[in-house]
Amino acid sequence: MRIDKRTRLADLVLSSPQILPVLTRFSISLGLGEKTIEQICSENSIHLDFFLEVVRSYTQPEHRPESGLDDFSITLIIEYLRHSHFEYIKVSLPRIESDIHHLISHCRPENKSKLSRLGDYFEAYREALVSHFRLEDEVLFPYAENLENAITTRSQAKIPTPPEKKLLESQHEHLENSLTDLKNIIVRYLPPIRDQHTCMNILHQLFEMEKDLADHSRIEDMVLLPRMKKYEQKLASQ
Amino acid sequence: MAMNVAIVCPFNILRSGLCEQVHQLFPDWVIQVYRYVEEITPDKLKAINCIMAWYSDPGITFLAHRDKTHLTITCGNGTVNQPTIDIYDTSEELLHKLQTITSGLQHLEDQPKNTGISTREKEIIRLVALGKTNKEIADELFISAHTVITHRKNISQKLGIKTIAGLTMYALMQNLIPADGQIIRI
Repeated sequence: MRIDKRTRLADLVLSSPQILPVLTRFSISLGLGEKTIEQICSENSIHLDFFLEVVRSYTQPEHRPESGLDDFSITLIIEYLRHSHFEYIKVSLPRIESDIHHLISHCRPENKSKLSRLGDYFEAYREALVSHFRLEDEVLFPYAENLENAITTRSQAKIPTPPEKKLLESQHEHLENSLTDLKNIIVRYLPPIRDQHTCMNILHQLFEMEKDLADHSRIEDMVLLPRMKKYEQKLASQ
Repeated sequence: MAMNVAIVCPFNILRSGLCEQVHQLFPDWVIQVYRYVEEITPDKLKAINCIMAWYSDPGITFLAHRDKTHLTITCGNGTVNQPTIDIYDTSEELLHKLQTITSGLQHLEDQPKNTGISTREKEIIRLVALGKTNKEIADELFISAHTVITHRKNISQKLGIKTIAGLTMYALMQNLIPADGQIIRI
């Protein structure tokens, strides 16, 4: 569906439920009524164009940010991304982890060692993902903010030194592959387990997180990084 | 299912009669006609699901085409569990026999594809899961590092598993390595 400021947010949620985590991150509560995106944004003090940009990137995978869409600050993007990182770390990951622990502690003795290793795999994945988030929070985002700062204050002296971006980019793909492999292993090679309900639950959450992480990375790759590049070029030409 | 049928019979009247019958029962089937089995060249054979070949004694034999590269026509009286068409068959009997053949073929197509991990590939997965490098694997199996890389590419393609940690999990679950040894790193 076409998404603009006059779209009723409830309609959008019902047709594209994948934007639900976005609502949480912008602290929008359900009970949306017939309100348009514009009304909801103004009531919750949300930057309208930025909100539209985020929901479009979640619902239209081919969506490219319009050029010249520079009227919202990079800090808005970063605030949103940090908020999502926090949510992954504090909500999504612990929830899956606790389901896996449940599976291990309730399984038949002969399956225990294999399932414990599955737990180890998830633990290793969680650690890798969290340290990737930390790297972005502590290195990439501050650099982006410094760039914007240098642009707005027109200060030559404050041109920041770029971090090794290669490190950050190559991690995205590896983390995605690790999550895909985990799903593959669970679907194909898990020993027969009594508690299929919990298994399915874990799998559902992994699918959901994979999808959400892909959209999350897209915001970084298609909104944040192009903006940073623009700033870098602008500073270089000064 | 889409059927590509070859009707083989040296006698013009019998051949065209059977063609007509099959066409009426299954209008969407593709029918090719031959006088002798030898006329069917290997590349024509690839596209054919079913052959109805005529032999002197009981009439016409069905030979369901099980394997696209391999076809044996040994005897003329349908001994190998293939239904036989008789020239006295009614249209209903013919229909029933043809349906038996197609459902048999359908069943064969529905069989899950074997991921086909070879013994050699299993050995390589095991060594990868034990944390060995391509070079170490090559030395241990007396093959080149290049061959190890080719094997690993094939394994990833067959299993859909891309990471070393994923392969280690596969090896654990399939009992290629003991479940309580390796440290899993991502």
